[in-house]
Amino acid sequence: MSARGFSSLLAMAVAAVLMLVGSSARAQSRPVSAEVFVILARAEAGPIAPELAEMPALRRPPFSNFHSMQMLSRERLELGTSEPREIALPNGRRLRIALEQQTPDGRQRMRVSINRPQQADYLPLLQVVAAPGDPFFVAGQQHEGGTLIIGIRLIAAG
Amino acid sequence: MSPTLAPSHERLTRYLDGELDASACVEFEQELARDEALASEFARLQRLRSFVTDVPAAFSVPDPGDLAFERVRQNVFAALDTASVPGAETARTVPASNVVPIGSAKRSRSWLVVGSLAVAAAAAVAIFVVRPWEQTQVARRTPAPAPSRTAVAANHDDALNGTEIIRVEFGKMSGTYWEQAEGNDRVAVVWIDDTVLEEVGRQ
Repeated sequence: MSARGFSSLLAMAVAAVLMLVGSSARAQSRPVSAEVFVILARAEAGPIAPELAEMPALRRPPFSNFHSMQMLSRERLELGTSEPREIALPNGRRLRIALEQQTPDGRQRMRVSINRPQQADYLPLLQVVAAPGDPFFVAGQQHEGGTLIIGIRLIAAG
Repeated sequence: MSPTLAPSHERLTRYLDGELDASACVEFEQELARDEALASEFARLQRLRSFVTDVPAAFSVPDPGDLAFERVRQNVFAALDTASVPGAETARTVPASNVVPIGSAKRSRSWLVVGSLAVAAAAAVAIFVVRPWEQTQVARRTPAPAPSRTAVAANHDDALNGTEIIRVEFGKMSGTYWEQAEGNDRVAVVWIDDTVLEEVGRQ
């Protein structure tokens, strides 16, 4: 092999590595959409919000202990790594969601917390690696005789 | 002041776990009937346990460190399987596309090229597969207090890529968390027990 051929091969190898690094950085900076559901669940018999039919997890234990579910809010957020997003909960606390980074397999590492304003002692930290389409739930807060169920689901990139 | 105004969490837990002997059980039940605070704490723990025990049977989630190792191992063997140069033992150390035929007139330079490409490939593997800067995070993972992880995913790869709870800090509250999978439907749950907080109006 000539010296020129060798140099070309080496340059191609370096370029390939740089392209991989670049594409990863672009993937990191892309905003990610998420849906946040706030549900009030009660043990007493009553209606189940029809929108919840798309979440079969809510029909299984422990959620199946509740016999009525009311959708209090459903919000779509654009999450970026630069700034956390907040949602006001009906009990005065705030749900904060921050994206950290994308994992090599396409999941998103996130941080979630629930606290009252200026406080940090209720749920200071929940760190999750979330797969798009798979919801995760934070439940148990007592509110108006029922229990709040917060569902967070990343929306797979179209 | 009754000594049971500050109920013993350990004794409650041992009672619920069936670890108290018969006489201790009778004594505890009498105390339970007398003491409202103790009865309230007992009811709260029972509620939490009934939620948690309703979750279907447990399954074992592979250790994240093992999963990372398994991914690296699979990638290495995939590369070796494609590098099928008969009789060329050294060809098994680099991807097939990088193999240079043995016996070339300029073998030493060819090996330099192979070496350079191998270094580049190793760097790429280190950056995108091993991700050494993430290993410390895996090591910090909180031991799962979750009593249940349920069902079996359709295949092992699906289980690898589901939602995982890495760490939970409950602050003043207690709680638990678990991950479930049924077929392709996977879910992670964090359950905060704030019954007592709400009951005494300390929001």
